[in-house]
Amino acid sequence: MNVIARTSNLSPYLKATSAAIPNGLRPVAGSGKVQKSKVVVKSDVERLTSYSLSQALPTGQLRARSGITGIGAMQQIRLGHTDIRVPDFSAYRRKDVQDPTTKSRESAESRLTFSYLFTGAAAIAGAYSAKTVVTQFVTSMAASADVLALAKVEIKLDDIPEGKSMVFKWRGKPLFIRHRKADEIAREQSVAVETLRHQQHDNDRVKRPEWLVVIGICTHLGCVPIANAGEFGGYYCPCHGSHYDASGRIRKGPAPLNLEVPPHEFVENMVVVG
Amino acid sequence: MACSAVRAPLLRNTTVRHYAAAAAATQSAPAQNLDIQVLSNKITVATLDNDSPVTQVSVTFKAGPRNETYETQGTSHVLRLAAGLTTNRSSAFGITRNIQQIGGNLTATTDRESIAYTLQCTRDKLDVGLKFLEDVATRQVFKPWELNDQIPRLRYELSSIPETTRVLELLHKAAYRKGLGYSLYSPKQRIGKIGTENLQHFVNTWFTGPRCAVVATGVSQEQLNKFASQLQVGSSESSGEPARYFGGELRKERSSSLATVAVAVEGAGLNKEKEAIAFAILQRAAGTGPHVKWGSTSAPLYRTVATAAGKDPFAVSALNASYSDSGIFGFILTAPGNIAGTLTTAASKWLLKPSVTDADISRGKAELKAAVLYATDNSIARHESLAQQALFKGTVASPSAIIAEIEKVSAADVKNVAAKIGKGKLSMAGIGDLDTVPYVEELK
Ligand code: FES
Repeated sequence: MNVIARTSNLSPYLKATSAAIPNGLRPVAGSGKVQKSKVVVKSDVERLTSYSLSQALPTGQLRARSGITGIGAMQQIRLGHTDIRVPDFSAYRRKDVQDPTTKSRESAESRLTFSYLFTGAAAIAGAYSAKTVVTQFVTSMAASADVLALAKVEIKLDDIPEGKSMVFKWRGKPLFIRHRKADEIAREQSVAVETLRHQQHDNDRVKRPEWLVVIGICTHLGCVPIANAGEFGGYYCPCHGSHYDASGRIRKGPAPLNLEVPPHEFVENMVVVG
Repeated sequence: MACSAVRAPLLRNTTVRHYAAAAAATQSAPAQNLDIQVLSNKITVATLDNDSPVTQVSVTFKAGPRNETYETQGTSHVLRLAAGLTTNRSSAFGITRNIQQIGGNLTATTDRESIAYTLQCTRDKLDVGLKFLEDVATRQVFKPWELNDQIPRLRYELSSIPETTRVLELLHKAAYRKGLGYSLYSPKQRIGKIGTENLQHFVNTWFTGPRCAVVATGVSQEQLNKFASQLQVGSSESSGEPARYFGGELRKERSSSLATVAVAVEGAGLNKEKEAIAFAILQRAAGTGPHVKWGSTSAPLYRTVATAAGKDPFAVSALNASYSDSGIFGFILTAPGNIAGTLTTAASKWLLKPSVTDADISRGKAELKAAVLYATDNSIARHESLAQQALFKGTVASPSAIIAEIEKVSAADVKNVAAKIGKGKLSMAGIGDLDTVPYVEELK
């Protein structure tokens, strides 16, 4: 019956079979039509009334229209605001370039020269004034004139007899100047440096051997030592018992350092301290 | 302090009437110089030089789906989408940007017999616009990679055609089979198959001087002549096959709650002008649907269908499409699937034996005249109408001349064409839920 009813070579196409369990037999031949992905479009309005239905009806020739969309863009968006005033910068612009029809290149040289000169001049003036201001501020931090006036003292050495230590005031501190005797000089010169707490040779501390110039402040806690006293014949600090020798070096007691030697210079028979 | 402000004249009531008393400025009607001539390269040039601030220029060719063959179906659709692609003088980007910069519009419009490239822009920017219009209309090169890029767009367009449009495409296919029967839209199986050579061949064959009209509104005749005379178009006088009406039926079932059905017989082409106008009057007389929301009309076709429909929603309209040498006349209706069959039967019964009274005909005439005049108000519609006239008739008529033509058609003429309908061969197309919709043999 089947054989008569259906042409045998067509039969695979006339019935649709899908094998629930693959049996190795010939499956239904495909027709070659491929399921394409659907294009999603905006759905039309659902028309439910006579009026809306009739609005959709064309009544004559059809025309199809399309715009140019070569690059995909349908239109530019230009927002035409009327409430925004475009600012006018012509007051700030050079006269040479205000006319849009002239070439700016022609006036470029003169405009550039002016710009460079003006900027250069302004830069130089600025640098100078900056320098002035900075100097002013920096010098305000320096010592004032009255302080500077006291910064140096000149002392006539003739007034100081041999073997005497005199006290002067220098920058608010006591200054000892000692006219050393020859035996003192010899004694201090011969002290072995390595036996000292603060190792300095006498030559490093004096410029002329007969003159010792030191600041009279004990390096321990700042008392003023007494001259020509103590075990080493130099200075002695009564506060905690520091003994300095005739070169102002610490020899015994709690002070850690030698008496400080201020910068000083000898000018003929004068010493200038500071 | 406040008193002095009150005394300021600004805050006093005005005792003089200013602009309110000024006489309304008399509006001078813009000059309307309608002009048409044929240039040495056989291009027909028509201008309507009104003082419109927006200028419209169309380059139209008698080339459309009608000129396709079975193997080249869809060419005119692709051709329409290819408007704006790279030409031998400017790039796609250049065209798009320049047209956008001048604030213009450049569109391609196709119908079954013609394609129009239309530029709309302001008068002062016309020179730039015309250059690109010329490029788009006559200097196509159809780069293959650019054509490929249009395929998604083509697919999208095809997917978004409404059923009411599809049914007309099917109706034409059933009625003419080829020529006028080929669709405005590319068949799906032709997507990607129309290449550079197809398009170039189509353009070379049909985009020729004798088949071309350049039409403009808002431009002087001299300026347009200058533009049209330097267009590079062929000069061969190829003419397409004459249209032949067959009749038949095409149905397409789709998952939709509505059925849309169109039934038609052969009408008149524009070559038989009087008959064409008579059909147009008959269409309005039969009714093109209600014009008012929730309203109804007293048109006979509408009434017939409304009686059959009862309370169900439906829409029906007489259908009249005239082409250069043929046309179709009938109706199109859309309704929920369960009643579409009844309505189709009722409507086609009326169509095969159309009864129109003299009152219907004079109403139809008035409606047609109104439609013509309303279209004059719309500059785009006016321009399109000029373009069609220039292209197919070689003359352009002012609206008043068209009205005079309509006036000349008598009620007897309309009844004559109505009587011929019953003898015509039916074409029918249906789409959607076709459960109850009868086949064409059942309509006799
Ligand atoms: S302060 Fe001189 S020993 Fe303490």
